[in-house]
Amino acid sequence: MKVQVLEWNAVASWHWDLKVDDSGVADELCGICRVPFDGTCPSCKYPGTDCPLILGDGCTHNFHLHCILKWLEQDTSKGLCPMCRQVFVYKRIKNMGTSEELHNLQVLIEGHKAMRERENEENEFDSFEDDVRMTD
Amino acid sequence: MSTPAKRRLMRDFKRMQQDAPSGVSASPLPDNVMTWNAVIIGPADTPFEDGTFKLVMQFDEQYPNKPPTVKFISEMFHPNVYASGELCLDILQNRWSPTYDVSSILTSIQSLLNDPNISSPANAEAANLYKEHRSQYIKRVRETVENSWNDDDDDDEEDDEDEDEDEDDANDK
Amino acid sequence: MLSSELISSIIPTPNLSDINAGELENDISIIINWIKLFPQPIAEPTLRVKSAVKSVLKDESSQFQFTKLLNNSINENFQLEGFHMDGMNICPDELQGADLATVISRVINTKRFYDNLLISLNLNLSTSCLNLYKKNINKNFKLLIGEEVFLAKIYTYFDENFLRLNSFHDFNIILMLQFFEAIEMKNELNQILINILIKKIKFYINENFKLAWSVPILHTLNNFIEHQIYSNIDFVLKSLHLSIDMNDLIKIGYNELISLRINEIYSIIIDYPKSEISLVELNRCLNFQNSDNFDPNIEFYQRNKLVENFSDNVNKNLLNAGINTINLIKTYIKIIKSFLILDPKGVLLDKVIRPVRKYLKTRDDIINKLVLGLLNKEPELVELSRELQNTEKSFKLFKNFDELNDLNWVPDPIDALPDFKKFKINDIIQSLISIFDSKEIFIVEFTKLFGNKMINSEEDLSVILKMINLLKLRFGKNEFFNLDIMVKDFINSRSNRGMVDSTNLNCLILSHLYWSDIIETPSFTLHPSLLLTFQAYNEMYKRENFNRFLKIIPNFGTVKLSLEGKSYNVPLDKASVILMFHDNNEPVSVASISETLNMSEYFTNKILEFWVSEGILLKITPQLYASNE
Repeated sequence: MKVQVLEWNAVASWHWDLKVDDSGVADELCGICRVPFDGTCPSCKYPGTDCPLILGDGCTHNFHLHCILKWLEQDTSKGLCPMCRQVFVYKRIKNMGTSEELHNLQVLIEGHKAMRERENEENEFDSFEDDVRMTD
Repeated sequence: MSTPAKRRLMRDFKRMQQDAPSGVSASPLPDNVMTWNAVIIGPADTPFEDGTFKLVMQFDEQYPNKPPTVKFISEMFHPNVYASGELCLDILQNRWSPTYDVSSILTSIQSLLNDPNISSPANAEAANLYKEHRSQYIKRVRETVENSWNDDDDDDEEDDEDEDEDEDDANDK
Repeated sequence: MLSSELISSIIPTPNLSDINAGELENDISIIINWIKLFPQPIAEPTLRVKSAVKSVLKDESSQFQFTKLLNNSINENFQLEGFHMDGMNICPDELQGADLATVISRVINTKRFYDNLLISLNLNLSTSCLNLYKKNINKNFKLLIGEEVFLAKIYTYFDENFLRLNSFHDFNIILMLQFFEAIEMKNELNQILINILIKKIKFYINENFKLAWSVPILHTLNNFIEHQIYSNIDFVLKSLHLSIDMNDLIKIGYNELISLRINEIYSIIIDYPKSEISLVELNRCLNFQNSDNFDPNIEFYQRNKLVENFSDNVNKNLLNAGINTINLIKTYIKIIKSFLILDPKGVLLDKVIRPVRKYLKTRDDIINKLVLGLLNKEPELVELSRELQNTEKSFKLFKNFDELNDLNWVPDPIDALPDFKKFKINDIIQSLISIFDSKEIFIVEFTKLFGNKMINSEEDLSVILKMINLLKLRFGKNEFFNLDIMVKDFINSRSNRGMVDSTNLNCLILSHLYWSDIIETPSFTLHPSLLLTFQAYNEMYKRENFNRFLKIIPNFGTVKLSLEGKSYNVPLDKASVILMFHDNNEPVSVASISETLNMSEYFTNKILEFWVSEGILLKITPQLYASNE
């Protein structure tokens, strides 16, 4: 007998392909807004393309792009990952976020980097001054 | 109107209802999700054991990217709690992370009770007694524990609305 | 009959000096004794009487004493068993048997005699004494004829001769009118007339208007009162210088109609909208105010009685397990519509609807039925969807309910319950929704319903979108964010089709978190060949959507198959089972299918039986099937 499939109207669900951490489990919730990744961040109406994720590169942590943007806008964030406090670096993946959003993210990250460098210089200068004072 | 901060606080509330950590409880005011009342029960086997310490948490629209203001309403005797009830706790200041929520804030405060940070005291007397005269420190803490029960007794006699007003007054000061 | 000349001749004009002061009482009794002889042929008064009269009329106080004694003496006469007068006998007990007209004319004559007695005797009594005398006489006559029996007889007579009341030639009626005038009982007659009118009107209403709910009747009733009732007593009223206000009669009629309708109210409302006109007219009756006899207590009583009667019936007939939910909702809508006709302020509705609301809430299927009704999926509740369609019209001007409420704000009527809110009940959909404390359960139900329609391609998207927009006006825009996401999934999936039209697979791609109420845990795995097709599709999807992949939901969707020259459109489970027989003429065991597809044997058997019934498969043994070639 021949069974021929002429047409198939299927129903499927989409899912983010999330990075799995050391223990082999992927976080399901965005650590910042606590909404599942397959849902929207608190500022978005539609999940998926409109509300993309950002995957950490230095660490295994993922966030809604809009959530991490809001966090990095804070000076107090110092450009660190909210989960592990490492400097936040992200993977560049095509079609994840608009070019404007990604540009903003890049600007923020670079801003924090510059700030950190300036602080480090000041600290070195401070310790240099201390050294000078001690020698007095 | 629902805002990102309010939505996140509703999620915090759901989490508090579904699996609240032991010894803490918190809920937003019925008409304002930006202000929460919380209670921390003093952990067992510590001088704070059985104390019921009340707090108020005030959130703003920047939450969770900015920490809430947290303040004890109950009288506290603790090296890291100011006389005003305000706390000196790093995660509520420079080590804040947007991954914290009501539940984790309260858990941190709970563990701070018996594990004070002596290097940056907010209450010098409490810090000194803690370091030099531990038995006197414990005595003073026990007094606040007992007072915290009396707070409750008073509240039982008054009606709830009065209680809320009292706390609002305390916030204003 | 006495003439004044005769009396004057008998009793000369009194002279004060005639009588000695000490003899006053004696003189009076002498006069009374003399008067008592009347109306026997009047004897010549003795000198003693003449002098007594003179003495009695001497001053005011003696005149009063005289009048009092005279009254007592007359009273004694009246109290005798039977009252003899002019040779005739008037006895109340005999009224029943006697000819009414005879008795009446006798009473009139007797009354006239007494009225004229003092005047004809020319006893110049002071006005106040005359009044005292007259009052006493009237009292006696009223006592005499004012017996219930007599008035009842008059009532019967007028009732029976009602249609002749206007006839000038009816002697009895004229006589009777004179009689009531004579004994100064016009008020009593008036009351009798009113009672007769009420009886006539009541009879007419109950005879003609019972169950007559679908035709206007007030005009007929007004005509009846004006032309058959009022015009008949016109003459009587004019003759007695009495007046009954037409509007009072109409009010009497309306009140009777109100009582009738209050008794019928439950059936009337069940009969709505056929009974609409009777509700409109009942409202007019309830609000009809006659000139100056308006009594707010009556209105209050009627409104209370209406609510009470209706609520009793609701408890007895409506709020029980025997009534299905759809009928409950239909009746609920009828109650709202009809009570708003009765009382547009909504106070009565507020009172009667509360127990119904409370009861509706206990029905498990109420939300489902309401949602089906709103979406026009329940023919019995088509009214709800019509209301929803009208939403746009009525809501266009208002951004939200609060605004609507403010613009309509009026002070609450006095008999409103303390938490009465008009806006809660003047809108049927709002009224039904507000039975529940939260709108959320409706939203959940709508979401489920629309989701199922989309996932099963049961309804055109444009129809769904139109409904959602109407619902948003009712329930608030932000409540439907989940449904908005579902709709977007649907629209996005459609546009995907162009992208991947190289395959014969169309895929509806869901944001699974928002479809969790609809998607069930899969009960089987797809046939490997279908899985392969899906994998290819998934790879294509991944290329387009970085870092996203798809998971098939096997419980939904359909496959169009070509089998033995016939085409079938079947769900994926049936397709997967039959694909096991592709290019395979060997028998296949139920167990192996069940294992390959992760499907329960029970379920596998059911599907195999389906293909057997279609003539595609043969059942070789209960465990073995083969293609039917």
